[in-house]
Order: sequence, then structure tokens, then C-alpha cells
Amino acid sequence: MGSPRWAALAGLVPAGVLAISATVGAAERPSRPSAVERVTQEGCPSCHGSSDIVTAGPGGDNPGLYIPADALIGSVHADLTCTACHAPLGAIVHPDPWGERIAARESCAGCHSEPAREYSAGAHGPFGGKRAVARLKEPSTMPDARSGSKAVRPSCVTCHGAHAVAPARSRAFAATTAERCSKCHADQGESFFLRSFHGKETRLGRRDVAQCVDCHGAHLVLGAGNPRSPVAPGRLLGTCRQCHRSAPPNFAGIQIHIAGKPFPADPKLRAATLCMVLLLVGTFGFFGTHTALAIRHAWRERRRADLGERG
Amino acid sequence: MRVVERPSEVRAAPPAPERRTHVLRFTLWSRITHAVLGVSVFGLVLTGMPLKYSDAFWAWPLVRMWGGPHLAGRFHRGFALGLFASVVMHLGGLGVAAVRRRLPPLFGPDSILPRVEDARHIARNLRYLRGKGPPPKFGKFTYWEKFDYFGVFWGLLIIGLSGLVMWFPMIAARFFPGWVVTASLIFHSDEALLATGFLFAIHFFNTHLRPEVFPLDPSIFTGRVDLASVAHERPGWYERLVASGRAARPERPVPAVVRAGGIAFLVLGTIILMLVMLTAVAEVAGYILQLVSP
Ligand code: HEC
Ligand code: HEC
Ligand code: HEC
Ligand code: HEC
Ligand code: HEC
Ligand code: HEC
Ligand code: HEC
Repeated sequence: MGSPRWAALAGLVPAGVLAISATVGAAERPSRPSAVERVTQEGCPSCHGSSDIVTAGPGGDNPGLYIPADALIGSVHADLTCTACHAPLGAIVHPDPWGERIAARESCAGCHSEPAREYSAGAHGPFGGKRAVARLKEPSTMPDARSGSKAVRPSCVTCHGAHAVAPARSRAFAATTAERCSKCHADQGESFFLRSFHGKETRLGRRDVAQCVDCHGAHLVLGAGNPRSPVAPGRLLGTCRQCHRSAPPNFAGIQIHIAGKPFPADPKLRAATLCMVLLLVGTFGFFGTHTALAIRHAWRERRRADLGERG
Repeated sequence: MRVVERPSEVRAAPPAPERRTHVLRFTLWSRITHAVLGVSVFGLVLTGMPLKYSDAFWAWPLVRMWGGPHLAGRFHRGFALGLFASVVMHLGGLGVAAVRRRLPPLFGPDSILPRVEDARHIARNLRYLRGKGPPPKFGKFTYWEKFDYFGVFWGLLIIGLSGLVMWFPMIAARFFPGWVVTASLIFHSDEALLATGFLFAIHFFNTHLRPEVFPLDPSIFTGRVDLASVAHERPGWYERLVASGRAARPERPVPAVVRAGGIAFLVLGTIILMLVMLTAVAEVAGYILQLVSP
């Protein structure tokens, strides 16, 4: 580790904590120190780079406020600085914290116009305006599966995160996204993960099977009633054919989300389930009793034999 | 060739290597077929159950053992072929026997086909097991053995057809509406639970874990049963054996390896049974709790 660089950093930054973290970051990624330096020059780490900041602010306990200078290293935005998404420091620090947060969430659109346009056109959009403010009223961006379902729509940050944004086109990301979708769409998530082949295999770690976003899209998410949706009756077959190349027309009739449990709502599937449950209960009922009687009988015989031997 | 002896004589006589105390119960072909069937079923359960209960704590380690979910799926198909093979072997064996006119009796008390007599045996045995009345006079096959035998066919019909539909969903969807594929998963999955529970709890208990033969009934490996136990457990068959004057054979010891292997399978089956049933019972209990709580 070059000591001149260390000295330069230490001279710029008041907080010793930051100096250590920057050194560590530089050690891991020798080509990145300039990014950390640029971030440091913007001045945010002087407060947000110290873990003391956690107790600042109205709530008094917000671990999210601790964002060290190397927070972006390792994410897809390693080359960006804080002010790419946040307003630069003015004379007064944070005159409007809430407004700044909304602005940060909406900053993504400035560079990623295509996803933002699609997102705004889909059921999770639109971008900005009153709805964005309403989203902020929620205590967290990731609502509890039971309470939050229909109230909160996801923003870019819900799926991608704010600072640790990961490469999006990996299958691993699609799989973690499926878990995020399920936090809000609990019923569809459950039917996917517990009762459909694709979901069960996903849960066991397979990555080539269909994920939520393979069938619904990531940004232009629309209900099945909308003819532009990839799961609309007219387009569903094409959606399956992305992977099942030669799928015949009936293939699209294979249900993915089976509503209702333990007995499906669909009458045919309900009948199938009922038949099997009756068979299970009947067989185990009869032979379970039979075996229990046989065990008791064998036990009695043995005891009788023992007594006979002793007496 | 000596004709069958009385069981009391068998017990009283001093042990001699050439004593003809046993009679043939399973032909070599049947034993090989049973081994193929057994290994296939174990493989199918070990590769399939982690998918059925993919959220159970034991699912992930099991799948890892097979080299991941994709390979586990390939192995599952391999074992399914083994299962089909065992059925073909059995039916083929019957065909050859029919041509050679050595088919086992299709009718009469020693047939494997269900008879009216079996219903009477069920009623009488249930009474006997409760300590009321004499035991039924079983022939060569008891009613639960007949159920085991036809259960395999029945299970194979449901599980095999639904499995093929899911193996080749593209071909299936060409001839059937889409819901048939969805329903196949339901049939396959529930029938698998039925088969696993039946084999590892009821079939294992009725044949191997009975106090008389615990921990293993060797006849499925040696093909031979002790006449004394035939006289005790299947008096109907015993009487007809004596009357027919069929030749008895000497006892054949089970090789230690085979015995150890058989016991290993029994232990493995019991462990699987515990895990699967624990998960299944927890699932049902969850549904019931949901129904009860508002
Ligand atoms: C003088 C110390 C200081 C500096 C410098 C500073 N912040 Fe902050 N920041 C704070 C404190 C204190 C809070 C908590 C404010 C609150 O919650 O009311 C905060 C809160 C925030 C928030 C959350 C707003 C909210 O919703 O509560 C963001 C975003 C933020 N800062 C970004 C930045 C960025 C980007 C920079 C650099 C351009 C920066 N800050 C520089 C002290 C500072
Ligand atoms: C790619 C854009 C982007 C960059 C670059 C970025 N941020 Fe953020 N940041 C956001 C977004 C979006 C939010 C709002 C997250 C939310 O509301 O959940 C945020 C939130 C914050 C918060 C408040 C966190 C909380 O949960 O209370 C702080 C503090 C913060 N950023 C500091 C920084 C600092 C310091 C840097 C520079 C090292 C930085 N940010 C760089 C997008 C960014
Ligand atoms: C200043 C412009 C800018 C802003 C603002 C910005 N990004 Fe990016 N983002 C980029 C660049 C440039 C890349 C490409 C990085 C690369 O390819 O190495 C990128 C890459 C990404 C990727 C990975 C794309 C891929 O192909 O895998 C995602 C996801 C992403 N950004 C999401 C976001 C989100 C979410 C926000 C808002 C919190 C945001 N970005 C804000 C410039 C920006
Ligand atoms: C509901 C979850 C979700 C939301 C909300 C979301 N994304 Fe994405 N995003 C994804 C997924 C999943 C992928 C990967 C898509 C793929 O595999 O094709 C992705 C891919 C991307 C990519 C890289 C691929 C591309 O299409 O360019 C960028 C950039 C991106 N998102 C930006 C954004 C921005 C900006 C927003 C907010 C307007 C946003 N995302 C909102 C889930 C989401
Ligand atoms: C933060 C919670 C949240 C997350 C995460 C989320 N959604 Fe949504 N989603 C919503 C809300 C709210 C709606 C709007 C429902 C409405 O309009 O009734 C919606 C609508 C939809 C619709 C249209 C439903 C309809 O009835 O029109 C689909 C499809 C959908 N989401 C799929 C997804 C997918 C796929 C993901 C993951 C990539 C996802 N959602 C992640 C909250 C969420
Ligand atoms: C293999 C394709 C596929 C996958 C994977 C998939 N879905 Fe769906 N989804 C569909 C289809 C087709 C429909 C429309 C028919 C229906 O409701 O069953 C649908 C319907 C929905 C709806 C309701 C839309 C409406 O208009 O009412 C939501 C919400 C949804 N899915 C969410 C999800 C979530 C969350 C995941 C991942 C956990 C997911 N889906 C995975 C194909 C899929
Ligand atoms: C992202 C790719 C992808 C998409 C999109 C996709 N699948 Fe699949 N699907 C797979 C893979 C991979 C398998 C596993 C094939 C194997 O193991 O042989 C599979 C297997 C299946 C199976 C066989 C397993 C079973 O349970 O019977 C069915 C049926 C199926 N998919 C239906 C569908 C339907 C219907 C759609 C469209 C709504 C669809 N898939 C969309 C990738 C996909």
C-alpha cells in the first residue's frame, strides 16, 4: 500500500474510519481508488462515512444513513459518484431530506430512459408525481407480504437496490427478483414456488427454468387482461416459446399459478386433487389400521410366549 | 427327492446340510425383477421427493447429492426407465412361462388374482388380529400381498402415465388440453406420496419387520421359504404342497453382502419415510390450522 496515497486521503478526510475503509477498498480494487477519491471530494463521506451518523436525524436509529465512500465499489455503478443520483451539497446540508430521497429514486430514469419508460407504462408505474410521494409514506420500500400487497408499488430501488446495484441480466438476479415479487404478490409467489415445476426447481437452485420476469417482463409489467401483456391469452404461447421452442398451441393452456389451496379453484384440478386425497385417505386408513392391529397382535403373542417360557 | 416333512419333525431333526426343509417361492427371474423394481423405486423417491417438498430442510442436501436439480431430474428419468423395465421383465417372464405352459395357476386358491375368498380372509383376519377367532387359512398369497402386487400396476398406471406427460409436455399438449399437463403434476405428486408411504410403512412392515422374520425376510433374495413357516403362515398352501408331493429343497443361506444390502435399504427407506411423512403431516396440519383459524 503506497503511503503517499494514504497520507493524501487522510489529509482530505477528517474521519479515520473512512481512511481505513478507503484503504481496504483500494487494496481490493487497485484500479478504483480514483473513484473513491472523487466520492470523498464531494464531501458526503465526511458525515455519511462515519458510523456515528446512524444516530443522527429524527428517528435516531437509521443504519441506512451509514454509506462509506466505497459503497459503490463492486456495484455496476462503481464509476459514478454520489452526486450522479443525489443533489450536490449546498450551503445548507439537506434542506429537504424527503424531497432529496424522492429525487434520488427518480434519478435512475435520467440515465436509464428505456427501463423507466417501460416501467411508467406498466402496472407498477408511473414514475414520479403523487404516487412516488405516496410510496414514501410507507415505512419501508419492501412491505410485509401480508399487509403491503396491493398498496405499494415497487420502484426501481425495490428490485435493484440503491447502492449495491447488481448486474441485471444474470439468471441469479432473476431468481432473487422472483423472491422480491413474491413479497407483494404472495398468492402468485406461493403457487409459483410451491406448486409449479419452474418454481420448485428455482427453489432448488436451478437457473434455466422460467422466472417471474421471463413470463411477465421486468419493467413493462401488465395484467393478463391487457393485450400487450406477455401473459395475455394472445401472446402467452410466444412467451412459453422463448424456451419451449416447438410448443404446440395447447401448451399455453398449462396453468402456472394454481389458485386455491389445498383444493384448487379450477374445477378439473379440484376433482383430480379430491380423487387423490380420497385414495390416500382410503388406503392409509385401511392399511394403517390393519398394520396397527398386526403390531398389537404380534406384541401380545410375544408377551404370551415370554410368560410361557418363564412359568 | 423326499416329499415334504411335518414341521415338528423338521424342528426336532438334527441339522444336516442336505435337509430339504425349504420350498421355492420366487423364481430367479422374479427375484431379479424385484431387485430392479426396488432399486428403481428407491432412486425415484430419492430424486423426486426433494422436488415435491422443495422447501423441506432435507430437499436441498438430497438434490446436492445427485449433483444439482438438473441432474437429479435426469436421474429421475433414468430410474423411471428402470421401473418400466421391471414391468416389462415381469410381463415378459409371464409370457415366456405361458408359452412353456409353466404359468402359475391363474385360478384356484393359490392364484395371485383376487378372489371372493380374499374378502372372507380380510374379515376373518381383522377378527383374528383383535384376538377373536381363529386365523384365516391363507393360500400361497395373502390378500395384502395381492394388494401389493396389483398396487404396483395401479401405481405404475397413474404415476407412469402422468410422468410421461410431464417428461414430454410438448407431445402431450399436441393431443390433450393444457390442463391435463397441470393435472398430471397433481396425480404424479400425490401418487408418489401414496407409493412411498405404502412401500416404506406397510409393505416393509408386513413382509420384513414382522417379529417372525425381523429384520429381513430372506425369501426375496434366496427364493426359498422354510416349510415350517409356510405351515404356520399359509396353511392352505402348505396342505396343497403336501398333497401334491412337490419336491422340497435344501435351505440356502443369504450371503452376508446381500443381507447387509437388504437391511441398508430397509433403514434408508425408514429414514426417508420419517422425513417425507413428517413434512406431509406438517403440511396437512398447516391446512387444518388455516381452516380452523379465522
Ligand atoms: C454535515 C453532515 C452531512 C453531510 C456532509 C451530508 N449529509 Fe446526508 N444526511 C446527514 C444527516 C444528519 C442526515 C439525516 C437527516 C434526517 O433524516 O433528517 C442525512 C440524510 C441523508 C439522506 C436521507 C434523506 C432522508 O430521507 O432522510 C440522503 C439521501 C443523504 N443524506 C445524502 C447525502 C449526500 C448525497 C451527501 C453528499 C452530497 C450528503 N448527504 C452529505 C448529514 C450529512
Ligand atoms: C445510482 C444512484 C445513487 C448513487 C450513485 C448514490 N446513491 Fe444514495 N441513494 C440512492 C437512492 C435511489 C436512494 C433512496 C433509497 C430508498 O429510498 O430506499 C439513496 C439513499 C441514500 C441515503 C439514505 C439511505 C437511507 O436508507 O436512509 C444516503 C445516506 C445515501 N443515499 C448516500 C449516498 C452516498 C454517500 C453516496 C456516494 C457514496 C450515494 N448515496 C450514491 C441512489 C444513489
Ligand atoms: C449517471 C447515470 C446513471 C444513473 C443516475 C443511474 N445509472 Fe444505472 N448505470 C449507469 C451506467 C453508465 C451503467 C452501465 C455500467 C456498466 O455497464 O458497466 C449502469 C448500469 C446499471 C444497471 C446494470 C445494467 C445491466 O446491463 O446489467 C442497472 C440494473 C442499473 N444501472 C440500475 C440503476 C438504478 C436502479 C438507478 C437508480 C437508483 C441507476 N441505475 C442510476 C448509469 C446510471
Ligand atoms: C419489479 C422489479 C423491477 C423494477 C421495479 C425495475 N426493474 Fe429494472 N430490472 C428488473 C429485472 C428483473 C431486470 C433483468 C431483466 C432481464 O433479465 O431481462 C431488470 C433490468 C434492468 C436494467 C438492465 C437491462 C435493461 O433492460 O436495460 C436496467 C438498466 C434497469 N433494470 C433499470 C431499472 C430502472 C431505471 C427502473 C425504474 C424505472 C427499474 N429498472 C425498475 C427488475 C425491475
Ligand atoms: C412493492 C410491491 C410489489 C413488488 C415487489 C412487485 N409488485 Fe407487481 N404489483 C404491485 C402492485 C401494487 C400492483 C398493482 C395492482 C393493481 O393495480 O391492482 C402490481 C401489479 C402487477 C401485475 C399486474 C396485475 C394486475 O392485476 O393487473 C403483475 C403481472 C405484476 N405486478 C407482476 C410483478 C412481478 C413479475 C414482480 C417482480 C418482478 C412484481 N410484480 C413485483 C406490487 C408489487
Ligand atoms: C411460466 C410463466 C409464468 C411465471 C414463471 C410466472 N407467471 Fe405470473 N402469470 C402467468 C400467466 C400465464 C398469468 C395469467 C393467468 C393466471 O392468472 O394464471 C399470470 C398471472 C399473474 C398475476 C396476475 C395478473 C392478472 O392479470 O391478474 C400476477 C400478479 C403474477 N402472475 C405474478 C407472478 C409472480 C410474482 C411470479 C413469480 C413468483 C410469476 N407470476 C411467475 C405466467 C407466469
Ligand atoms: C425461461 C425459459 C422458460 C420459459 C419462458 C418457460 N419455461 Fe417451461 N421449462 C423451462 C425449463 C428449462 C424446463 C425444464 C425442462 C427439463 O428439465 O427438461 C421447463 C419445463 C416445463 C414443463 C415440464 C415440467 C412439468 O411440470 O411438466 C412444463 C409443463 C412447462 N415448462 C410449461 C411452461 C409454460 C406453460 C410456459 C409458458 C407460460 C413456460 N413453461 C415457459 C423453461 C422455461
